Amino acid sequence: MKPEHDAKLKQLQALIAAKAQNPTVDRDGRANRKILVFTAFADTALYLYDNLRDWARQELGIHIALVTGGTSADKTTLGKADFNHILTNFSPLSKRRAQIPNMPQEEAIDLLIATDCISEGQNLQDCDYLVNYDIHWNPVRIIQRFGRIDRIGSRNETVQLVNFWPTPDLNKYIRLKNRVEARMALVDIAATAEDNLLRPEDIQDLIEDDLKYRDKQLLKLKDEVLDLEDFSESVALNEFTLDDFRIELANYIESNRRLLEDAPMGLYAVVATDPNVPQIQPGVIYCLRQRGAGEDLDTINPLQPYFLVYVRNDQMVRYTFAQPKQILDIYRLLCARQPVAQEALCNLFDQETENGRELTQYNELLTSAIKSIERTFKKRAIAQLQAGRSGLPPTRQEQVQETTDFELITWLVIQ
Amino acid sequence: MPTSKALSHLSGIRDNLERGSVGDFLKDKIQSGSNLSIVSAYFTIYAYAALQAELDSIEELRFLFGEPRFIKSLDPDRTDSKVFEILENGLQLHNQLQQRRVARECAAWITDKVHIRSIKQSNLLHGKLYHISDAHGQEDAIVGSSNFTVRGLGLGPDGTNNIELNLEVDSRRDREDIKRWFDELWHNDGLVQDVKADVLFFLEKLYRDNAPQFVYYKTLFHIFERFLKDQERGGLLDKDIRLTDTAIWNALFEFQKDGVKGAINKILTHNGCIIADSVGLGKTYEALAIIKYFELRNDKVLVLCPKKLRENWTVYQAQNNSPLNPFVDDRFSYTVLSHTDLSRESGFSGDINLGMLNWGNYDLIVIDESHNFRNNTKGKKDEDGNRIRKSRYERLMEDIIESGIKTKVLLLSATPVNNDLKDLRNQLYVMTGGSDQAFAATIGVASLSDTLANAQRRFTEWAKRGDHDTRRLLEALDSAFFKLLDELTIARSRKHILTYYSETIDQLGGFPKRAVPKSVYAEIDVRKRFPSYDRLNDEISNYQLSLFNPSGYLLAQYAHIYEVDQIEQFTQQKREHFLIGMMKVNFLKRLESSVHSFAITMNRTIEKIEDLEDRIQRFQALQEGNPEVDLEDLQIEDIEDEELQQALQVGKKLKFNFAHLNVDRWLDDLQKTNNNSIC
Repeated sequence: MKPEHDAKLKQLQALIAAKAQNPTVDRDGRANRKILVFTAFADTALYLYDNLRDWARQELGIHIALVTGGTSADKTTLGKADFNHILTNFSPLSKRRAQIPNMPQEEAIDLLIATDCISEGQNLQDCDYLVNYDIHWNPVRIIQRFGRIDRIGSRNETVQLVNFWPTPDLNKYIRLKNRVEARMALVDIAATAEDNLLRPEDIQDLIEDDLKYRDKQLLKLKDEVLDLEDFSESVALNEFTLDDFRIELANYIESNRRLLEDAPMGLYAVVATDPNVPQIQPGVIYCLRQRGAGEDLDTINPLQPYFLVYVRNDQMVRYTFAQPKQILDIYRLLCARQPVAQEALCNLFDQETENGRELTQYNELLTSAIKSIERTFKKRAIAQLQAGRSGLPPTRQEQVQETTDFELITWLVIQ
Repeated sequence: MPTSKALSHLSGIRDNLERGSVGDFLKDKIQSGSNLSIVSAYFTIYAYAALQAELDSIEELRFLFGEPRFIKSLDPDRTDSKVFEILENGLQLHNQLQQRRVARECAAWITDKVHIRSIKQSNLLHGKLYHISDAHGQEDAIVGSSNFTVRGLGLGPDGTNNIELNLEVDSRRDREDIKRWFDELWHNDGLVQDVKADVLFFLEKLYRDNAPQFVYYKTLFHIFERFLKDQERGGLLDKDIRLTDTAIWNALFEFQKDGVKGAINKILTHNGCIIADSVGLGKTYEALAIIKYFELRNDKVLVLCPKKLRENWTVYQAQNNSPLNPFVDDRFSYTVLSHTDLSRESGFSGDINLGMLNWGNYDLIVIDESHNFRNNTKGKKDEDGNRIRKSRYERLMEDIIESGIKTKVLLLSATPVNNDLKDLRNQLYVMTGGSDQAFAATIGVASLSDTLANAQRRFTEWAKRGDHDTRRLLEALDSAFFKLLDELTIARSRKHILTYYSETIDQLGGFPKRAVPKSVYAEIDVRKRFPSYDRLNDEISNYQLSLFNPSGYLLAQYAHIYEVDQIEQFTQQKREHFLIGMMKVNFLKRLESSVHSFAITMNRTIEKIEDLEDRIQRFQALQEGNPEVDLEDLQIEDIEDEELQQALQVGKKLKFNFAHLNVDRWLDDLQKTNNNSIC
């Protein structure tokens, strides 16, 4: 089939012409004609370049380039046909071209055809318009591609993603895709079979579920740009670290260290629940310290010797000390943007507790919290023994018991 | 509250044991309208609370601190002790909930009835004294060791109080003299000063309503005290190493600087770190700053990156003198090699002679896109099981990490984990040099593989539920796993950056707005003569592709020859089956990309088929000549699909002897496929 009959190519040309003739305008008032076209295949990329080059130069008056990652396969109508030169001429601001002598300073490349050789690790945010000429079947790759232009420091108001789909009936497309793909995922399993803990059937189920999930995400891409973290097929490590809290603390402490040091233990604050987060019910988050405990039992309690427990007013312990991340997330959500005490809530609390005289309810919640600490601590210590990870169980003294000497660090009353 | 003890009426001693307590003495003697004089090193609100009924009724109390706890000028750095003195250690937890009320009531009482002075000099006045004179001139006094605390006065539950030694003063002369002694001190301006305002100021902190934000940070302040200590001690930025003077450091955004600081600390503590920041947050720059830090310590650094990202790294090497390098002044001198170079024994990578390279001589290795090392693939072996070639993973571990000097590791990957936490384990092994117990002492993770296997089990159970609710996963995972990741990774998402560095982001103009994606549904042929995508799809799905399926034509009597050495449950037949599936996917993907690419693939496939047909026909005619067929030779060259490439590497190299195959049937099927092809 000849290129002039290629309907898909024609549609791409229409998009390019539209952008070239009606450029967007960036925050600094510059016209922006740039388009970045991704395809999964070098053959397609070369085909596009060959068929668009003269048209783009003569009809539209823009420069065009091709990068495919192959040796000496890169091509351009402006400057050196070298990978880095092409990218610099395509995105001269982000690549600081002005500081580089011997490079073109006036003209720039406005149309770049690329394979996934640049889908990672490049800053091309001068561009605000990205076309996926074919949908990569792994949606993560699509996000990575978009990440080239969707970056901090972009001078563009908006960034646009355009996806070419092979057929309007996406559900059919997905079904078909699955038929071939689900089985072949098994290859993955076989490749690593030697140290898998799971039975092959389980893994197959798992991968199929995962593919289904991927498909849902792929469909979503039709209407929104997702973040990489939205794809739980890859576990996002940032769910696991407490670094954000540390950094937040480090920022706060710069000007407030003395205040924090001087503040006594046992302080509390009163906050309201958040209507947007129904999981957070009225209750108390206690922060306790186990007196005389070292830090060496931190496989049982990650914050040893501190214990965070969130107990709801119905005595149910929603999160215990093994889940500090969840508790801190709630803490932050309810508190981080509340720099002053909320008078109405405090007054209500004083009323309900007869100015702090009637604390039976909070005593009971505290008892529930301690019981849960005791229970969970034992359970985890035993589990750890069974998992054969450490040789010795905690000594009697180290064990958390109801009588253990706890100190109240803070408590947060959620009304 | 302990009642008077058996011996208390027989003895003037008050010891908090058998002979009674000072607290009971005070309860007994304080009357409505009494005037009190007390000398004590401590004063706690809980002691007040225990005696509240009596103390609230008095006329006046003069309280003299025997230690200068509230005099700031003497020791401005002393901070926490004050808190401690007023709040009292060792109290029952439940009492602590009462703190605010007690503090408020105590403050009211002090304001109303109490004068407080303090001795100015430390370690000068050691005696403790309680003197009471009632409205009728009746005097009582006790002296000894008890401070004005719950434990000192013997007001706590049995067994929690201090053992004290106090003696009731039973002679009138001594009681009067003690009062005079107290008055002399109280009025000696050289020795004492008024601290009532300071005490009240402090008490106010205990009873005023607190801002939620402050309580939040107070909580963080304590649970992360170790981190804060480490940070102070680390102080990496103001040491001799002038990282802050470098061009790269000053090119970093605030959140990148924080990431760099964190990573350097982790590398120094644990020998390694994974930076798993999301795409677009600038991992390369962060890594450059970390590299600079170690280069400033005269460490030798090796960067291992995917071949296609080489230039991303070589551009900053000073030796290349690139006009594109904004950090020329930093004189970066690290070595850059590609992941694929690990498969080579000789030849050149850039201008590095791989044959001459001393792999073991690096202090820090930076692995870009480290998920490429998520599989601990074993090297190729010969028939006797002897290794003939190391895998890339083995090369990395044996030649770089374990040999020569101790190597620190920095891993960079936005997606270090794919489907399986084993991915993570294998990357962590790079840090530990394969040791499973390396984090036992530092992080308390006794076994890496156990911890991750455990986590993987939870992960699988969770994934099976299918709702992908991460909260549920986090609840199920055990804390050793959290700890491990928390200690070894820096992982921020775009959302996190937007939340925690909103000011920086605003200064930079923020992220651009994302417009709603546009969808384009492309026809294939403007003349509509070419079959539709959907129809082609169906056709491709029905392809037999017998080209890639030699084992389907194995004669039964020879089958056993080809069954050796298979991976458990994964027969050659299955392997080919999957391969064919993936080939079909490749056809579909290429069709979806462009008719042009599809045509290329089709033509290449047809050439292969025709070539094989020729060979089979020659074999049929002569029963000899090139009698073997190798599955690898049948593959099409234009494979760009990473997943397909991986699939092709599965299994052993296998050659089929034509004599063992039903070549007639094979040829027949091949010709059928060929005729069905479209292009």
